[in-house]
Amino acid sequence: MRVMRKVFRGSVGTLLVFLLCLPPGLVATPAAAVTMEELERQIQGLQKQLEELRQEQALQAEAQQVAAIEREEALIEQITPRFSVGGYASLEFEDFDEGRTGGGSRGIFDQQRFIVNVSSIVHDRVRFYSEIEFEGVSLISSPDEGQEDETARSGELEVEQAYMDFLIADWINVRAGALLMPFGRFNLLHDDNLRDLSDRPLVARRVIPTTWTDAGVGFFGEFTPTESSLVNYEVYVTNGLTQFLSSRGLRDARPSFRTDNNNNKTVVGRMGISPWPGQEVGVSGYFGKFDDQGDHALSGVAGDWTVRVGPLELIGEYAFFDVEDVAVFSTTFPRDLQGFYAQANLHFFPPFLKDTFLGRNFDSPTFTLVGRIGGADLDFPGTPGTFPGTIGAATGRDVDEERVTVGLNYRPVEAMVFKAEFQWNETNPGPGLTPLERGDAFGIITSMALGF
Amino acid sequence: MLRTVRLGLAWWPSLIILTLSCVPPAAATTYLTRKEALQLFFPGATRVEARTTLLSPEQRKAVQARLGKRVRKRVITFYRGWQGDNLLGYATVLNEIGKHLPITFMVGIDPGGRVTEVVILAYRESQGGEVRQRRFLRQYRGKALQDHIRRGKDIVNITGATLSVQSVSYGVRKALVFWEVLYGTKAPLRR
Repeated sequence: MRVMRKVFRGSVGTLLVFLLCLPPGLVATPAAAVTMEELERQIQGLQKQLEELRQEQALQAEAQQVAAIEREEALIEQITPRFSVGGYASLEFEDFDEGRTGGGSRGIFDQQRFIVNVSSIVHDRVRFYSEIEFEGVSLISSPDEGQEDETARSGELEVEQAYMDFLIADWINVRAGALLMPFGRFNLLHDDNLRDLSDRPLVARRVIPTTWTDAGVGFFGEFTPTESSLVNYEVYVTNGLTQFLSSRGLRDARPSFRTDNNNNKTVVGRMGISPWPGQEVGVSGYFGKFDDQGDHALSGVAGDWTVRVGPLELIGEYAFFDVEDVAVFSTTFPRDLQGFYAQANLHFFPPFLKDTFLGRNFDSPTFTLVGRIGGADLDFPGTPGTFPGTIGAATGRDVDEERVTVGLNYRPVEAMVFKAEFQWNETNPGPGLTPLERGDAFGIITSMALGF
Repeated sequence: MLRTVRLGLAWWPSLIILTLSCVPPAAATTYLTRKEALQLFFPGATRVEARTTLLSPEQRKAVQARLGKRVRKRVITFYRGWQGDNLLGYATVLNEIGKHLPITFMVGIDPGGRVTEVVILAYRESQGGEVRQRRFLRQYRGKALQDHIRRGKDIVNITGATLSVQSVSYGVRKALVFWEVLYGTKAPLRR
């Protein structure tokens, strides 16, 4: 094509030069005038041909572009793996005074967690997701290997999630495996790199035993009642919590994935209602038998909220559990447990820091100022119930612990966070009872977490 | 009696399976094809033409300067929807990494340089898929380069899908910058 164009241009140019070089008398003759008309016609014809060639060339280029787009699309599908590996790691340093109840700890570096996520989309409608946690682990060994003091280096290796999804429709899908319990929102979004404070709220440790996983099966889905609103839900049948309650909450009652102490299944679920993007109110419920005989019920309700107004975010959670006839088992087990937290996050980034090391080359670096209040209250048999926040009013056997935290964190990118916080704790354990977490200790916690 | 009740209860899984078999299926990764999206973006168009451009070094520099970061993309395709001689608008398809895998989405831009619509064509990860919801994507309508188009500023974040929100927001800004360099006039950019 290029050769043809060159030849064409060359012949037109040669013809014009030739005509210009002819003597004027020769051009003026009638015979020459005919020749000129002929030549004009020929030039016009050639111009037309040239235009057609150009159009043809444009069409070919467009076809090539379309083919290139198709190749690009096919390539993306080919090179995109059907699975992904990610996770996060966190390191914490804390320094607490002893307080009157001895809940302190002096200057400790804690390699809190190393989490590995493996997920796979087996088919457009079948997928798998897992989360494996190495908490404080520096060594994994079998007991037989019995080197000196290996236990001092051991930590916890735990499957936090491992489930399969069978997708049916937006509003209903099946999920089965080791599932995060949808009781409150914190348990579902507990990752260190997602949270704005290092420590988990008391309610999410002593009342809701985060990270709380159980083996089971159930449904999840979402639907949109109006253009801007969304309702989502998760509801599962699981083995349920066991009778290993303790005077410090439900953490020890978390089940194994292979046994059910009473062959009596538990139902747990959460429904979230979001009127607009970013705003959500959630209600959760739990009901199941917890004792080995399957005679006594453990029932719970929880509420959670997320409200966003510009850079301000208000989040929180309240949870309550009732243990039926707990005195039959032990007077050291709580009769009921309840707790809450309310947290305000203010996201900002001062413009004058944009060209410093804190802002340079980062797209959306963010500081977050965080304030949180919260507490947990465990009432034991033989005492009237109290609500968290009634420290000093306890008349019998209950333990109430409260916590106020103020912190600041910095995220150069969303996946990485540096956190620093001050924490004040106050507690009033009844006779024979111990504080839930940190007693009356005051301290600081700094940490960093990175998602990858 | 008890045996009868137990036998009766044994039917419920079958009942659930039967009910679910009547539900129309949904796909997890691909939501719209490019053709379907173009029909959505340019309703009533008499023709839609694709124009692929290899950016000149100057154009590439301009894109990077506007976005404030290095951009690898050197070739961009814009679709233009026409109704007769009337230009309805532009659309382009971008791929941005969410957490680990690319999110494929189409951004529609009107002749004045404002976003008309954003749709997710394919979301491949198992978490964070809330960004494909229309109620979330509606936030981008009417945005131009004079706007922030950033999570936490003029785009409401979704907890648990933050990286996806960030990626789609960046992709929308990128589409507007490409459009501006190729077809538009330079407007002040908000950071």
